[in-house]
Formats: sequence, structure tokens, C-alpha cells
Amino acid sequence: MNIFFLRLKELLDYLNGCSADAPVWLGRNLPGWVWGVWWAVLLGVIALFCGQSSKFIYIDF
Amino acid sequence: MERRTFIQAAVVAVILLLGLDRAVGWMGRNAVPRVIVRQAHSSTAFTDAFLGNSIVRAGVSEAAWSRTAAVGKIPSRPVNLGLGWSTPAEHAVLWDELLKTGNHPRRIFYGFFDLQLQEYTNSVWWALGGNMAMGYFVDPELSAKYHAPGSRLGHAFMQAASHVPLFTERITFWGKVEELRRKLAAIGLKSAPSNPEAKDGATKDEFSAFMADSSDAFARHCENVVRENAPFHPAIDDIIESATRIGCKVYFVEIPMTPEHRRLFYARPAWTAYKAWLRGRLEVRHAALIEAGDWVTDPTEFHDSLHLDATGAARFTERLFRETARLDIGSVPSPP
Repeated sequence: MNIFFLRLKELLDYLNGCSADAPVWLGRNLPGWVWGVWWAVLLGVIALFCGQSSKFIYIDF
Repeated sequence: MERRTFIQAAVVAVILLLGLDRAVGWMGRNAVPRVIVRQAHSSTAFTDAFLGNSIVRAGVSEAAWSRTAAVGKIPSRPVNLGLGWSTPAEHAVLWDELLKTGNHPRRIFYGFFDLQLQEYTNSVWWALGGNMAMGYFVDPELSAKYHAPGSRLGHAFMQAASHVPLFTERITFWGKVEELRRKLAAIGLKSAPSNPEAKDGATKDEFSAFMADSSDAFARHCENVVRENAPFHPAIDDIIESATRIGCKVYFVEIPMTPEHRRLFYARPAWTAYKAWLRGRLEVRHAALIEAGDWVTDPTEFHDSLHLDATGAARFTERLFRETARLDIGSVPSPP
């Protein structure tokens, strides 16, 4: 279990930019297109959920 | 990250976001404002147009209107352009869409409650949300006149925004997220009463947020409006002006409110004084006021603290037809 969490931490550190190099177990740095997909997913999720700051959401009347 | 990798990533992210933008545009193809605009464009023979926000959408029954007209053998074709969560700016745009199609309605009915005709929303041109976002994609030029008066940046922004559905239709997917959130929050709880007309399940409590904080605050607000001879929202002025120009009779209709609402707010002398003042202001503009606030007395004919239900809407609409037929034509169809 410890190894799982360690690897998860290494992966998250890499994905969020804390670490410049990919974890050893990943083999190599991710290619550009994977980063592109990852960034698009993050931006999409932000766009999807930032409506929660809206005071009042009722739409279809 | 190498420069080459960064550029590759940025290009892929932009392409995917453009795809998401198009997908959101597709999702919003049947958004409520678009459906109502299509309705306005669906005929050139509308004789009676209804404008306003959700209280008009819920409170006016086209079927009841047509039925009452048929009883009196009075040719009439109504169109309810009521749009929830909207301001006079959106109403002016919808009215303009109706006229653009070649319609020349004989009468227009603008439904309101409380001091809506003199109120300005705190909407800003860079963040119009919900149904008000139609300002970006139906007629940005006209909407900018109301939402960004005198701002060239605002006009340019509203024009440009119309090409970005991810922005203009954001409430479409925010609403779905909100629905999901409420479903999750309601797990294991007794369900809150919700309004089926508001598809995301807006609750009764939320609608009451539209009302004045207190009876005294409402009365003071009424007194201020009268004392300051407060102007109409510019969009209201434009609707009256364009309607009278084509010979269309303009009615401002005080939409029926619940007995509780009337007891709290409309029983105050300040409201009576406001309506007398309003009547005078409208008559100068060749428009008329119809005081229908107490036409539906049964509290069970309201869906929530603001909106009539189907029965209440039919009752109100039938009476509205008869009363205005009396004023306009002199013939009064008997109640069915």
C-alpha cells in the first residue's frame, strides 16, 4: 500500500509541476499531446464547476 | 518542460477546448431563450404578445387565451414570450425579434410584479448569465444598448462573446452540475418542494429571495420611486415607443400574487399610491395599467411564492382576455 501512495505522490508531483522529471517507474517524460489532454481536462473541469460561485442558479423557466 | 513539448501541449489543449466549445454550443441549441426566439419567428400572424419574466411564462396560458377568444368569436393568436430570470433588456430584444419577423400585434401585455418596472438589475455586460446570456447571441447590438450603454468595449465584447458558446451557454452545464449537486445533497433527506417549471429544481425558498426584505422596506421603496419620479428601465421605454408607433395597444399587467404576498406588500397604502402614479405615467405614454394582482385568490393556485400554477394561469388569462376585450373591442365573451 505504501508503494501505491508513494507512486501516486510522485505522479501527482509530476503532473502538477512540482517535479520536472517523470517518476522512474513511468519510464519517460510524458509527450506533449498527453500534457495537452491533461490541461484541457483541468480547464474543462474548472469551467464545469466554477458556476458554484453563482449566487442563484435556476435556468429553465 | 521543453519548449517543443510545451507548444505541442498548448496546441492540443486549445484544439480540445475548441471542441468542448462546439459541444457546449450544440448542448445549448434548445436553451430556453432560443426556443422562445424560434417561437417568435414561427408566425407572422400573432395578434397578442405577452412579455415579462417567469411570472408571465408561468402565469399566461396561450391555450386559455385562445379558448376564451374562440368563445367570443374574436380572432386572436397569442404568443407568450415570457422568459424566466430576465430583465426588460431581454424583453425588448424578444419584442424586437417578433417585429423583425413581420408581426404587427394588436396588443402587447407586459407582466410585472412589485417595482420591477423601475428596477435595474446589477447585471454587467461581461458576465450576463442564465437566460440573460441571450444578450450575447440573439441581438448583441441591441442588448449592448441596455447592458453596456455608452461602452464601446462592452459593445465589442458582447459581439465577440456570441462566438464562444463555452461562455454564453455556461449556465446550461452549470445547471446540470447544480442538478447533480442537489441530487447528491438530497440523498437520505426528505425532498424539498420544487417547481417543475424550473428544471433544476429551484426551491420555494429561492424564489422568495426575489421579494423585498420586509413590508416596511417595500413601502419605503414605493414611496421613493414616486417621490423621485423614477424613470422606467430604458428597454421599457423602447417597448412602449415601438409598440405605439405601429399602433399596438400597450398594457402593463400587475400579475396576480399570492394572498400572503398581497397581505405583506400590496395592502400598504404606498403600493396603492405607486400604482396611481404608475397609471399616470403610463397614460401619458398611451399605455394602460391593468391591476390584476388580486385576481387569483386561492393560494392553492400558486406553485410557489411567485408563480401561478396551470389552474391559476388559466383563470387569470381568461379574465385578462375578457377585461381587455371589453376595453378594446367593447364585446365581452361570456365565461366558458
